[in-house]
Amino acid sequence: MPTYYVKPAAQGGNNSLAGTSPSTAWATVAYALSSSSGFASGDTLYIAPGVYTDTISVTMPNPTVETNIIGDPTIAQFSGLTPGPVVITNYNASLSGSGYTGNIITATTKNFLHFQNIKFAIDNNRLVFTTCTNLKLTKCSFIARHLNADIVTLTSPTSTAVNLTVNKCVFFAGNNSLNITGQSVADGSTVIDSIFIRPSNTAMFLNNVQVAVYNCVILNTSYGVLQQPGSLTFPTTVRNSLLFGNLVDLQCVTVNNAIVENYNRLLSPTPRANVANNGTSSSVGDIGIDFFESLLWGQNNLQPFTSYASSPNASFGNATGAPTTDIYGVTWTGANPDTGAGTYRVITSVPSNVGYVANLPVNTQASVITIAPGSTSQSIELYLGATGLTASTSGLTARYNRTRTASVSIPLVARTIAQAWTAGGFAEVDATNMPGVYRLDVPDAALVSGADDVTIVVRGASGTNGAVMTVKLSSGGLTSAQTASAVWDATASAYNTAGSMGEAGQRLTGYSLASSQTFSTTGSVGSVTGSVTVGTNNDKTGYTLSTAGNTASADAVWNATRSTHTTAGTFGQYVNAELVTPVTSAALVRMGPFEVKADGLGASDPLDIQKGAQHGIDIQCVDNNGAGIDITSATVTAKVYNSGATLVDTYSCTATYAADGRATFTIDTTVTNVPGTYTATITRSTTANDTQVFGPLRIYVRDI
Amino acid sequence: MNLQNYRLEPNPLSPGDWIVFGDIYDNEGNLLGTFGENGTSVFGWWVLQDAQFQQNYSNQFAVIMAQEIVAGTAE
Repeated sequence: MPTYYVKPAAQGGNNSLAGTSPSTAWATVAYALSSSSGFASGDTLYIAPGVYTDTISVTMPNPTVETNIIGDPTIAQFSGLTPGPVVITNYNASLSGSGYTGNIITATTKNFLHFQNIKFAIDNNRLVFTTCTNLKLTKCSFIARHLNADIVTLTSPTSTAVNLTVNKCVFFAGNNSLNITGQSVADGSTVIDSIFIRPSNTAMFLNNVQVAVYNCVILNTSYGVLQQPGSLTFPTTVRNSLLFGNLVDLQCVTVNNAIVENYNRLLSPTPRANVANNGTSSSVGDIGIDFFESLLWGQNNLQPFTSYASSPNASFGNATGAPTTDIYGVTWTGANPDTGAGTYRVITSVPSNVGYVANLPVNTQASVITIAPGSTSQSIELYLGATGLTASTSGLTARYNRTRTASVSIPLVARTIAQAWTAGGFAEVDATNMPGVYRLDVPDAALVSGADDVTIVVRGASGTNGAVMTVKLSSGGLTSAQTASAVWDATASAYNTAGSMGEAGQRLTGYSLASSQTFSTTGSVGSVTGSVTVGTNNDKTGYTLSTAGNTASADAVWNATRSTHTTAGTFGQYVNAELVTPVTSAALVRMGPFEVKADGLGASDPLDIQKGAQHGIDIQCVDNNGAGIDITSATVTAKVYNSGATLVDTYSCTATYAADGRATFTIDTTVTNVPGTYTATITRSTTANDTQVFGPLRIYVRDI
Repeated sequence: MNLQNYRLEPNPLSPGDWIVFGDIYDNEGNLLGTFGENGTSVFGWWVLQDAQFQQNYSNQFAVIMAQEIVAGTAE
């Protein structure tokens, strides 16, 4: 099935060319649909943006399969042209003047024509299809400035169904928007998701034809749907539709109840004339749709003619036979379809100039991000506006170009949002909560270093003008791994500025642990060249010294200089005094223990002395056997200690019978002025090396 | 307000006149009124309306008359 192209003559369109490519496109739609062009059944014709002042007489051979005539407002097929509406009109090229006298389209016995994405700007004249079947009108607008001519007139051949399909179209003014004449046979004609505004007589003037009307809005006409005449065998169905501001919403003439209506909101003063009320529709309440208020108030969160929040239209319809999406292609918000053509949803994220008439162009979305050159497996998110796009959506393409280089195709690969990156991977993020946002996996080749930036374009699908994203290739966009590598792999000597972290890291002084730390007990410290100060070392569990350490400790003890360890009471002093410089010899050696007897009567009982007294005390120094110790020529002293072992006084003793160890001393008030318990020892000394100590002798000083 | 059994018929006794037949119901199916067993003549009803009503609709009709005259579909 060949594809042909039409573009304005000003853009190079020429009916003398082949028409088989955008560069050899024809100049007029009239020529394309004529018998001269070669355009035939099943072919596809793309029409570039522009105004075509054609009076089209379809003389091509009668198609037997669907034959597409498609406007391309988003220039998916016409690279290099400017996006814009595709307008076919019988005004002049500037859409002014009084228009031509001929009809915009005249076709007789031409079936299976499918017009899409085209705006028909109409003066008095119209689109006339005589004895044609299977006509399709999708996402087209029909805008008339007068009220006295029908917009689309369609008849079918004898005994043949019309099988008209009108989907997502907008009709404005004219006399009858659709004037359809059938043959009183079963007919599959449908009119869905469409809006009819101010036709003078009717939105649908139905002559002997059965039509299914679902989810339409019809306003400000005399008769919304007029069945004249109709058939009870093949009745017209009107369902889920919103009609208001009409003289009569639904009317049958000649055959009553040839229209069966359900789940509608019929708000005009006379909802029905000769149409039964089946009890499922409503004739009360507000109209329930946005009349441009969001745009007027700068809120821009609703599209005109869609249900507003909590609208009585919301979910009022019935799903049986109804379209699954609204005029904008959005799934009905509620459990059931809305009444009317547009469901409620907020579109805050959509730019203010988004088209609200089906398929008028929207601005391409553009944004800039930064990615480090050489990054791999990168995914980006793009806003394309339309929902439901996939890698295989017709016309959808992706390309990139690096600075001052030719563009490169990115073949799209179907992905789900959670699947791993693959070059060209394409997935819708969340059609419900993030409608219009898609993930694209950027080929690694696009991001290699060597270019300043990369421009990525995704475009070409119906319903979106695509998106452009410029990726700046800058290390400012380092990945986490690259950032870590840049820090930890940096040359230490290049980062030692005083006071910097680099310098501190290399100096490694002045640090302390903030809290107790548990260290591995299986590792080892290589070496410590300086001293180690241990503040607290009372936790020594698990520590051992090596053999070398033990040896070193032993060496430190045994090799210490003896002369520097003489502190009284220490082992050093003892070793020096007793081992190194022991007494030379002993003239007399006596073995203790020695006793002292105080009263001269051979008793060593404690003495009782009155406070403040001064007494002479006789003593005898005896050995263990009770034999007196000779104190001849010896110095004998008595030392008196209090109960705290503090020496209170020392007294010299005078021998009274030296050979038997007897002597005397006088205790005075130095001791006796303070009552208490005292002890006295007697020291006998002849030389430095011959000293014995006797006692102790207990003394009580009593305050009587 | 819904209409049932609504139809228009030429008035055989007055060329150019039409007779309206039908019953008028509310949305609950209650009969509100009727155009009468023999219908209501448009001409006869028209002349019974006050001047303001007649002027309003005559203004609208005049524009349509003008369009038809210019289009050559009426004299």
